[in-house]
Amino acid sequence: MTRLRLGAVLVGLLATAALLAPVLAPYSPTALLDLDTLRSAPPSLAHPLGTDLYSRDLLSRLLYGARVSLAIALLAVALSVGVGTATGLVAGYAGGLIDSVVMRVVDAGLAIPKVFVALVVLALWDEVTPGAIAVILGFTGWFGVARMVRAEAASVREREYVAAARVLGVPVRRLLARHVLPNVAGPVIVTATLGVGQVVLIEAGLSYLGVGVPQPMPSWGNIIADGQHVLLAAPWIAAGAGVAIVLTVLAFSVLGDGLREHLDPRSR
Amino acid sequence: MGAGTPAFIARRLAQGAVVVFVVTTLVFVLLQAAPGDPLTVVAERVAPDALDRLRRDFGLDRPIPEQYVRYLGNLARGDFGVSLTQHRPVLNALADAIPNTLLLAAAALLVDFTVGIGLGILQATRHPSRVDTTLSAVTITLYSMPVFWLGLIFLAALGRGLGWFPAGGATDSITYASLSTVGRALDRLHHLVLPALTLGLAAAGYTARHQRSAMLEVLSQDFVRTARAKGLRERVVLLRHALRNALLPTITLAGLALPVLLSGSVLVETVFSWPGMGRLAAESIGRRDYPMVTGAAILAAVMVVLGNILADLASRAADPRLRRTA
Repeated sequence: MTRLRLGAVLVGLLATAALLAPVLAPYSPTALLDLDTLRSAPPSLAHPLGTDLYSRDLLSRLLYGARVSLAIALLAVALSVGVGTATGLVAGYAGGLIDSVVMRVVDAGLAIPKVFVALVVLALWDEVTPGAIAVILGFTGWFGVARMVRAEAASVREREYVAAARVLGVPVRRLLARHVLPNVAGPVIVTATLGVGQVVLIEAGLSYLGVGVPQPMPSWGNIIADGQHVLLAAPWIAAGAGVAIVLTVLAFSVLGDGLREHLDPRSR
Repeated sequence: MGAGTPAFIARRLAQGAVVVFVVTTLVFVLLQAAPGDPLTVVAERVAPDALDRLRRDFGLDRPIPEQYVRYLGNLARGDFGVSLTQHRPVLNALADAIPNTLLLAAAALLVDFTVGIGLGILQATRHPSRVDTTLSAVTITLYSMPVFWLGLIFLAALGRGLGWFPAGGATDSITYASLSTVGRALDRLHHLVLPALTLGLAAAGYTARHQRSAMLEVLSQDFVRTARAKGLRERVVLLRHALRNALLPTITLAGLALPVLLSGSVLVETVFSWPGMGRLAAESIGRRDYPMVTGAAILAAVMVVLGNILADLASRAADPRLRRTA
């Protein structure tokens, strides 16, 4: 099986699990099933992945957590790819002062470690919702895409066929859409695919720190936080969510590598 | 180093200063864009008229451009504000934490590069084979691993479970003061192992993938074929001819790895109660101590900028071609 196909299958399975969570999950992800007898119960037939400290069914939390984590990641990546592509196209094509100013902002954005950027914004956020996290991660994650698109746009600008089109009076917007965008589409798609995995990791980290997805809504990061103080007594709590994150990031990495090989045969 | 190096350093420092200036502006913009201002956090505990007075005292009732100028002026004087929870200047609190973070980052970088370069070269020299395929699966798994989860596994297994390593902190809180100099160094090292291993291994996946492709690229070049053709031993071909060239792109990677390591340090320091800048930032946000969080972010960016300059200098030292063109 090629990497592309393997990645597509893995991502497809994940998406199915997330979409069908209400059908697949045996319980409600937030229901306290029985605080007397079902706290931190080990895996059993009734609860294949066990229960957590509050007697919530972990398989159900994991499935609903997939919806939360994947929705945040997809929305954030869509935002950062959109903003990054638009900014990069404009900066690279316009050149001059606009280009310099935009690229200094990009340099600065890349210099602040990602988790710190998110913390700065979250510091003044009163009530954090999954949508807010997606917006924050999207608007603080476009710098890399912008740099990549800008480099491509700046080099395409100098080619003869673009100069010819310009002389013929093709409007700038059409020039960018017809001649520049197709050249950057491949690398952007690859970066976006790999980016989904990276956002899943960052969101999990923020939720683990307690500043991401708020309880009782399940997210893979806050499920691990639930289990972190009982790692030896109830290892199943943190184990399932950790494996889910690894598989998800792995799936998008394999898909991204596969797409790269497919779109750019030289990288094989 | 070679001629032109002082001019090169001066130019890179000037560029770095511009980046840091833009970073501070970006942080200001991000704070303005967030809903609420620094005082909404205390709003419920303070009477409305007292809140207005506080807003005036902090200058939050002034126009945004004026606030921006004052903010820049304060930063330029090294005034990062006063921590809302520690009741001392943010810079003092960060100054206590930064050496611990630098120690952790340096140790992690060592683990990252030793493991990453080692695996990458092993894979490239065994390409194509089952060893290469298996190790590729290992490195992509490391790359996909949430760093705090890896830390929790080490902590549970090697810390609390087997008891080989301490369960957290940078020093032993009870015995440290009574230890000799050598004893203190060993105690620090003992506490450093698990956090450094966690942060380093999580980053090594990417380094290994990078090193593998760099080495494969070099191994396919003419000068390697020439070296083999003239009958050099394979060891000499690999180490003297191929590796020296394949390491050059990895030096640049060290600069790029720094933001990743600092991001990771927020999580790893929290897992291992490591008293560094990352844990300080993470704790401060829980307590809504925003001057501390922004101060940590700005200083993290300064470290990244300086780290990139060092990586550039190392690249120039290693690669004469860069000195000629500059």
